[in-house]
Parts: sequence; structure tokens; C-alpha cells
Amino acid sequence: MVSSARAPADVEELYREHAVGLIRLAMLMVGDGPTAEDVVQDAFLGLHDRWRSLRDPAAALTYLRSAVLNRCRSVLRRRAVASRFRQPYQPPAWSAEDCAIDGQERSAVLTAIARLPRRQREVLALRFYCDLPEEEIARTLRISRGTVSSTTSRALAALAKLLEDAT
Amino acid sequence: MRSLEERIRDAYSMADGWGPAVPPPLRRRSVRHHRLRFAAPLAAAAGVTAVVFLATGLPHRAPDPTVPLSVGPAAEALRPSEKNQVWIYLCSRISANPSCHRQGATRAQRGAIDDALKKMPQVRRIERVTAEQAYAEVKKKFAGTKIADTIRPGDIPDSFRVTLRRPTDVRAILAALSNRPGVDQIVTGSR
Repeated sequence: MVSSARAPADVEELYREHAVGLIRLAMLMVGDGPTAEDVVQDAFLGLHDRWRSLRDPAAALTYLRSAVLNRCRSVLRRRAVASRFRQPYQPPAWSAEDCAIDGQERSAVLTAIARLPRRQREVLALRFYCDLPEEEIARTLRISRGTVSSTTSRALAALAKLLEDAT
Repeated sequence: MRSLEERIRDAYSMADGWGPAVPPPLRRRSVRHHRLRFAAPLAAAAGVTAVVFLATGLPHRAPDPTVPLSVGPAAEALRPSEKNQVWIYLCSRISANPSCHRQGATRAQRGAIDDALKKMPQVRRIERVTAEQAYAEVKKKFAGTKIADTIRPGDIPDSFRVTLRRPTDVRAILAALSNRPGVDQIVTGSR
């Protein structure tokens, strides 16, 4: 998943190439597959509706990533409201997965990341999962480059502390 | 001790095994709501007509014997056991994947897939499995169960079983082969 300099021909092409990666990005945010798939489908529908009015088709992937993250935020917000009244949403993907030795270490890291504030999680996922450069992250989240780097360093510091406390 | 950044990247790499291996079909918004206002009465009228027709009796047809009743469970049950294996099922006449157009993979498509696999340095071994072999395998593996009774030759299509050098190469195979003409499904052993 590199930021595409080449303009995609249509929504379908984007979907074929990026849907799976975007679903995984959404899963890192919301924790479960079905919701992540819905979020991504929704984002593509939104893009489909706006395709003609898109100023720069090469920026479509950036648009999609931010649409996916926005919709993940809505999902999490709705869940937060719902969990005030009933059991919180339980099993995120990272808690159930492999119980192998390195699996445990990995899920510890992901569980700690899940406890970070929303924007810090988004920045970490875009930076370390999607491998995006700072500029692209700034465009995706519509924040300045300075905010990206300060958020990243704050996220790393907070994460280091969480992991240290856990051990 | 590894750096925190490495640990994060490593943890995120878990996500590579999540979700579907190939994108699920893209849903489309077919009819806009304001159009539905006119569509609903029309559909109702059509429905009534259909019911009347059915009530007056249509010629009864026996269920089409060529359509298999269950493709799902058997195909689901037949997946690689190793993390570094990927099974590539080819299109057949009964594939549900719309990009197969209800036609079997052509000889040229098979050849192209085979060539592409052979060129990839990550691939250690390629095994061709025909529909007949897969059928026999399921018969044997699920002997005595319902699956063995209901499955018919051809329910599971031809496939390539690919063994990779490292489990992490699965991603490269998926990138190279999903959406290639003639490929129906790619099943990985990574979950």
C-alpha cells in the first residue's frame, strides 16, 4: 500500500487492489472482521457516489483511507454509547489470535495500542501498518505534518509506558 | 531487546492474516430511494401476476441435476494445513465468483497462472490437483459423513497447491494472483 501517484481507472480497480488492505486497517481500528468489511464497503459506496466530482483521481486512495478511518470512528463512538448500557463489545481480533510465544507478545502490543487515544492509534496504524510517509498521513487525517510527528512521538511514549506497566 | 517500532510493526503484521484473502464482492446501491416509490407498486403487480400464474399451474420441472447442492462445506473443509501453503482454486462452470462468468478456466489461463507461479522466487513447490483428485480426497477424508455422501465429482474445482519458502510470502502470492482471470478462490493456511 503505497500512496498511488498513478490515477486509478475506476472504483472497481481501486477496490480490487486495496479492499483487503483497507479491511485490515479497519480491523486494527474496530477489532472485528464483519464490521471492518461493512466500513470498507461503505467507504467505497461513498467514493462511488462522488467519483465524478473528484478533483484528483490520484488522491482517491487518500480519500478512501480517511473515509475508512472516519467511519471507524463513528462505529467506535456508537459502541461507546451502547456499552454504557450493556456489556462492552468483547472480542477484538488481536485477543483471540495465536497463543504462540510471539503471538502473545504481539497481542500484548496490539492490546496496549487499543488503549491509546483514537488519533494516536490512527497515526500508528498509518505509519507502521500502511507504511505511509508523514505527509500522506497528514493528508489522510487532515492534520498538519507537525501534528503527525508530535502525535507519533506521544503515542510511542505512551505505548512504551503501557507495555512497561504490563510486564 | 528490539526497538519499540519493530515491535509495533511485528504486532501489526498479525493483521496480514486477518480478514478475507480476496476482496468480498462489492455491493452496489442498486435503486435510489425516490425511485423505489414507483418501483414498489410495479413489483407488487408483478408479484400478484406471478402468484396467479403459479396458482394456475406451471409445467413442473425436475430440479436441475447439474447444479450441486453443496459446494461450500467440502471446499471449506479442504484447505491447507501449513502456514506456508496456498491453494489456488480455478474457475469452474459452477464457481460463484462473478469474475469466472460461470465458465471453467481456459487452458491459456491455467498456463498463465502456472507460468506466473513458476517465475516467483518465493515458490518452492507447485502441485496440480485435478477436480477428480480433490473429489477422491474429500471422499476419503470425510468418509462416513454427510459431506462424503453429497459431494459429486466437479464440486471442487481444479487447483494449484503451492508451497512457499516462508509463510510471509503468502502476501506476495495473493497480490500476484487474486483477480487473475481463471482464478476462483485462493485459500491460505494462515488462519
